[in-house]
Amino acid sequence: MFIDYYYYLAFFLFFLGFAGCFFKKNLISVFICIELMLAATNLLFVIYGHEYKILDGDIFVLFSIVLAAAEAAIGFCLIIRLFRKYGVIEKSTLDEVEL
Amino acid sequence: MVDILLIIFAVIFSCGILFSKDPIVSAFFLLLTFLDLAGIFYQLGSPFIAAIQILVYAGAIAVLFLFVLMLLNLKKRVPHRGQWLKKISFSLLVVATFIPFILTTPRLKMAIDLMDPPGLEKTYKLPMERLFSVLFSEHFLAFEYATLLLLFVIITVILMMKNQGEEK
Repeated sequence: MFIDYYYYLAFFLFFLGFAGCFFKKNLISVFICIELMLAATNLLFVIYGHEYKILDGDIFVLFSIVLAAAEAAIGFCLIIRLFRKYGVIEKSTLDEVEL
Repeated sequence: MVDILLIIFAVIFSCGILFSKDPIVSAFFLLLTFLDLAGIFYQLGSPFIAAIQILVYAGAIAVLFLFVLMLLNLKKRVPHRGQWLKKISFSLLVVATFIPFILTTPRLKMAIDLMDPPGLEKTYKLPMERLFSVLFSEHFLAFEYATLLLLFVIITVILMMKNQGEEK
């Protein structure tokens, strides 16, 4: 019965994270919004696993958590390097980065 | 009842992520959202994923966010004086997060009794046993790739931080 509301909640969380990626200026806040989107997809996986009575949903959530951990490690590595070089971590800092 | 509470709290906390100016407050709201999602996973019948959500997401990733934010120390934080109403309402909100968990506790006890009824021989698999029997048979290749991914991430991060030292 509540499965529909969970479904709407997953979409709501995803689009909230998506909007946050555009409206937030701080890079760490953008990163937090990306994590929110990942959490919303995890919720969708669990909902579908529950709906179709299969375990694959749970297993994909495990892989998704591994991906999120890897992404957090690399992302924070980049953010700390940016902070040490430019002193600020705003989205506009990325324009000045020389590759 | 529990479902409604969980959904309402998830909406409140995720809006808090988007509408708070301070990244540290955002990170705290993210932590609360993860705890809330763990409750939802439990309600949907995946207790193992709920435990992993709390241990890995809330315990490691969200704390890593807070740790990096405090390490970078973006701006001098002025201690908020006054604003007692704001502080108390926020504290009550945090305490209220645990109401759904408390409400599910009697059902948790029931579930444990169902999983392992006393004086009965175990003829079926526990949820975790089922999960891992599928993970290590059908999805074994993906599991190996996940381990490789973590190894490469460790190497990448170490190399990136090492090169930075040589530039200076």
